Amino acid sequence: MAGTTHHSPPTWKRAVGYAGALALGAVLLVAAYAKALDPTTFADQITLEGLDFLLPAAAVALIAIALEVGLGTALVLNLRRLWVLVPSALLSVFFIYLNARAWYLNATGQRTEEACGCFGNLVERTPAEAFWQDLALLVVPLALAFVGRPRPGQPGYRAVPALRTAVAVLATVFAAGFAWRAPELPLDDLATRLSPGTEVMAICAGAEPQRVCFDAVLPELAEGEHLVVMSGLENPELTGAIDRLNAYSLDAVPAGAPALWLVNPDPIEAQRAFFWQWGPAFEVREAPPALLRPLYRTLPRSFLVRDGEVAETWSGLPPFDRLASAPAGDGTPIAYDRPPES
Amino acid sequence: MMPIESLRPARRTRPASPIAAALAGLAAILACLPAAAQPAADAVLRDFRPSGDFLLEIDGQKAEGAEIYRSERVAAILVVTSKLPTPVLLQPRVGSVETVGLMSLARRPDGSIDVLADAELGSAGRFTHDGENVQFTVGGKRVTLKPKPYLLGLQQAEDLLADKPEYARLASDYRPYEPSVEKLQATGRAIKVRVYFGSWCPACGRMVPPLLKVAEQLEGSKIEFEFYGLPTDFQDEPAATADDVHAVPTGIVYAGGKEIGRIDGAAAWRIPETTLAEIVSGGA
Repeated sequence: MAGTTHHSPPTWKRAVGYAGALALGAVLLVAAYAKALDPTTFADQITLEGLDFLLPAAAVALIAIALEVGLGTALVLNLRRLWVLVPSALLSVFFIYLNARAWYLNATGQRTEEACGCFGNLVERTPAEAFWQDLALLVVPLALAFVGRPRPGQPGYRAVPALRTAVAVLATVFAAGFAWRAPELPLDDLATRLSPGTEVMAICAGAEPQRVCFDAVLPELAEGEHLVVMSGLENPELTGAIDRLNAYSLDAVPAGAPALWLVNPDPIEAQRAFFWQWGPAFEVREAPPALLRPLYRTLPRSFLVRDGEVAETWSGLPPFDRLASAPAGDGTPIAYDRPPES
Repeated sequence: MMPIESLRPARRTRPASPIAAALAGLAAILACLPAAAQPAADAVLRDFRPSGDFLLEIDGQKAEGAEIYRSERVAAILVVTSKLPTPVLLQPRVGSVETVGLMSLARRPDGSIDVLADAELGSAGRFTHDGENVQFTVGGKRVTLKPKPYLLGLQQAEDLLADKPEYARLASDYRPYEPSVEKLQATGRAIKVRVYFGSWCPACGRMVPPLLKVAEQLEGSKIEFEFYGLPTDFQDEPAATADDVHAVPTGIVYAGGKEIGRIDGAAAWRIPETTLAEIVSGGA
């Protein structure tokens, strides 16, 4: 009835409710942060799940990130109103649904992880594990967040607290803008597991006993200086620079520049075709996609390793001019005798 | 099992007769000549090592005894066979086919081949490829270089070494950890090790050869090795499924017909004789 006054809930209930909201808000914000740093990968996942039926995947990704940040911020600010809690509940249910669907598709063989080459399937977290983990991380705090929430009629109740709502809205807008621009920002070191100081041999994928670390792919990195380029073998930025890579490998490396390695996630057939098409004068090594994927936002990406530790990273190809002591940086094709290209 | 070193290109052996001994002495004197007197290798076209990745066909027929070499310096393939008028050099990227005089090649004691610095390469046109098969014409003959079929099913170590000269070289260069080998040699249990591998798998090419050397050193012991080649889509292969093999290489160790452990994962393959010794002694 209008004008009915309710007593405020007891302090312990409000504390429990805020704890739940804080936990859920933190989970949403951390998840949104990871997605915002690499929205392209998130958009790929949206496409994989078939969620781009109304809007392009990139747009869905931006909206989802903005929503997660807005709701997460509101929950952290203890804005436990139904217009925050209900969408949060719907979002949580949706994430759990996606995990359950992946579990079902995996269990019935309708979706399998792509096996790659020698190393087979490298799965960090099975769909079943993902489902139960997300259930625990989302459902429990969500249920608690409803406890002791402010209700209409309670003393001091405001349906839309101005300041906290403004902060949540600002955070939403900022998140959308940031995610939109993120691919162009130099965030690779932040957004990936590869940054200066990383111990390369500790970069691993999969669970025991199929766990694969970088030492299975490139044990040579443990000692000395090495220049590693990660790229798909058909990447135009790579294939357009093959002569520069060959010149560096033939001229600069014997003169003392770091050894050059090309690491790629492509199958053996693609490696064979790459050899005949591009004639690499450097060693090409395959690596499981699951091992490489956490190390880049876009390919190619390169890094310099000294005695197993990442010294420098670059988006794209490395600066051969700076790294080479020999004149390999002007793009001139390698000079050994061969007939001119027709 | 034949010694691994015997599967590498033949080295000169000490002759027995007096005349041959004199010639050997002369050769020894010549070997002491300054380096300038030795044939100089080309700065780039050198270090061609035997490759087991390819099969050669000439006019549609398999060229038995053909030797295919791959340079470790540049992307180049050398084809040496008596069925072609001269050795042929293929250089990817530009797709060139060139003839090389047989006297312009120097075979080194380690089995590698260098193109000599003063070699004159004759243009023989260009090759075409579809990513897998390479085709060109030399001396009026239609030549196809194609990937060798993968080794599938049960193989003995000798089969592996004969098919993959790269394996033989790496195995020959490997120095097993002696305490582990001694422990394995002393075991009184009949042990069988089945190694699932892929002849297409680059990681197997690095990890399996050391175990081949270990197998050679354990010849005559109670430990037997067998090698099972899997295809690229091995997840659907019945043998792999039956033995729960998810990655290659995987070594399954049996005692009395029962599995007692596995050589599985990069860490285990780093020093396979030590991993095997731990499994056999029950410590893994």
